[in-house]
Amino acid sequence: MNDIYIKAYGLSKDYKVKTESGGHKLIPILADVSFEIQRGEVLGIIGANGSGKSTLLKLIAGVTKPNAGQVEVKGTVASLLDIGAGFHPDLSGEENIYLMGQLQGISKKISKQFVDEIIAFSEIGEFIHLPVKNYSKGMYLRLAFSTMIHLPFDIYLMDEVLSVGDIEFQEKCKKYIRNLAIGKDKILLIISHNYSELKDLCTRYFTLENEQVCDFARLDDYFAHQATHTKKPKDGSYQLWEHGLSTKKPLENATINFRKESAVFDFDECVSLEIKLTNVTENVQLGLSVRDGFNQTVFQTYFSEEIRPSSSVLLDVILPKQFFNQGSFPMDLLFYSSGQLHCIWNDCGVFQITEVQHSKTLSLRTWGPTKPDIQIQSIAYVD
Amino acid sequence: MLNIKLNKAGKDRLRDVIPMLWRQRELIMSLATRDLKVKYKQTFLGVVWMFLNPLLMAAIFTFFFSQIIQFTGVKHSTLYVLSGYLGWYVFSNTLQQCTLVLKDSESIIEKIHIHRVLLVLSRCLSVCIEHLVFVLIVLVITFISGQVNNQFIWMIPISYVLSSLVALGFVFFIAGLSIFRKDFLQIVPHFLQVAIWLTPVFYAKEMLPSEFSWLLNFNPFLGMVELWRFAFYSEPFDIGLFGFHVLTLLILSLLSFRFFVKRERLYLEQL
Repeated sequence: MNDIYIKAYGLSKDYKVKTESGGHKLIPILADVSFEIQRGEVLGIIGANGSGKSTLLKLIAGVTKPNAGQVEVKGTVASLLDIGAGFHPDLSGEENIYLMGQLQGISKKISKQFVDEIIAFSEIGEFIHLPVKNYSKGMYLRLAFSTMIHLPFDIYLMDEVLSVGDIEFQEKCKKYIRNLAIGKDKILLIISHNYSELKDLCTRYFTLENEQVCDFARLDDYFAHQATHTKKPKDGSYQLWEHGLSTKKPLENATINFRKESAVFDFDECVSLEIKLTNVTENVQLGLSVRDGFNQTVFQTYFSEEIRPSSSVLLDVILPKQFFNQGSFPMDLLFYSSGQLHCIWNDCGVFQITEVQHSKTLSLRTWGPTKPDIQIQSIAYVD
Repeated sequence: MLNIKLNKAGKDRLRDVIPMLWRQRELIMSLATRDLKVKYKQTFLGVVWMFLNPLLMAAIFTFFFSQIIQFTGVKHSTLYVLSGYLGWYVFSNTLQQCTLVLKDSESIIEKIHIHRVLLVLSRCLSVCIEHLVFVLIVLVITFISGQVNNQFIWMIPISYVLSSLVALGFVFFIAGLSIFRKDFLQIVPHFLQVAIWLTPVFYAKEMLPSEFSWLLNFNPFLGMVELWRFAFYSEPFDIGLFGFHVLTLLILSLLSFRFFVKRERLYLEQL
């Protein structure tokens, strides 16, 4: 059997960006990066937006070339950088399956063997003979995704594509991808912001930091790394609320630290925060906003005590245990004066909740940012 | 098994690109059939248009150049214009369609590893099939008019291949230029407008005042157009001048192809 691998040696990539003055500026994305990925590995690529995750996949897919160094790819590559790229709106679903395969190097003869499977998996049914421009967005994406995962490639590059279709279809895809990864000795590279989804699939994790690749064997290692690196949170960005009463900053700076060494908490553990405010110049009321991994607000609340002017204020705040689901939670601090929102300090700190299954209660995996412990008050069986 | 090696130091040479094209022949063919399928799928008459388009064009030319405009000093003005225009059309249509394909498939190029040469060649193949129908129709008209040049009819495939190759050369040159500056794609229609009037397509060389007609000898398109006329019906023909023109065009085309292949990798580095 032929070997399948991806090897990168001293890879560097810059982006040329036009500056306002008309000149050019080089933005480094990767600098002298080397790694090796063997067959059977499922790689989760995580990290902030704009850190270069997509660029890394593009380099492996060969749609862009490095400024220095070399990528060696052995095996047929399925590039799912953009689902449905290459589909022609006027061709039927079936014709598009063949075309898609051919564009990515799979001959029609081979695609034919998989076509029934693809149609069944995508749940397109009789619509398969209609031009894809008549499909709904969901059908279109389902067909494109099913095509790419069923055709026999060696290496799959997926850029935030696991959120195709409804929840049921997503679960089906994840199950299929898991089999693909475990059973068939392929290489999968998956970019995602959804840690719970990666945790089920991946055998290895990459994150991009300061133009370098950090390699982790487990997601918890990444969380631990994140926590030690965010122990001293970067100064949150100050933002004045438009309808605020005064344009003056009511304080100089606001940060959130954690009582313990790292910012990683267990589901059964209280999240204890230490909020530090410096040079408060007027009476303010403090509020806390917690977001989930998708930047959706989980809740916003405020503390009833008013904070008096002082050069340094330290507050201990405890967030409830057995409340946050697994994931990462960035926090913002809000300041109210005279009953109105005055200003916001964004990204004052971030904490992680891990391993829900350690919990004695509520050990099953669930969706959503929170997982409150809700008791049944009474049960009646009416047979 | 595909083995892609992307190397900064490695060069993209013609001799690497040509085997790649051979390996990808199935893709070229199916992209070409896709182009044709999509083009006629929307219409009621479907593939009939492939025949109807050149027939209508030939009908219009026949009407104007036999009934309304008559060239003096030209044996058969309908055939003169029709065969010359056919040669010009094969060139200009290939050029236009193949430069368009680069604009149309930007979204694919950015997501899937595919060499642009493949896209250009597949579009070229699909327009070539359409041109073939046009050539056959003009040939039938020539037969009907009894002007057919039996002795040199074998020149038709040669002039057909030549015009398409020259057009491809221009496509690659423009594609190479447009990689960094899309503006060059905008120039194509204007270039074709100017070139069609600098070349005796809708007029005969002899109709120009003698103080200008010698300038035509420096227009390589003259050789291309005259070759078509010669192939379809015996038209007096200067073999030395023709050789010079054809050679110029072929060398330019080859240089353009090399130019494009080299620029392609520079572009990918920019992406």
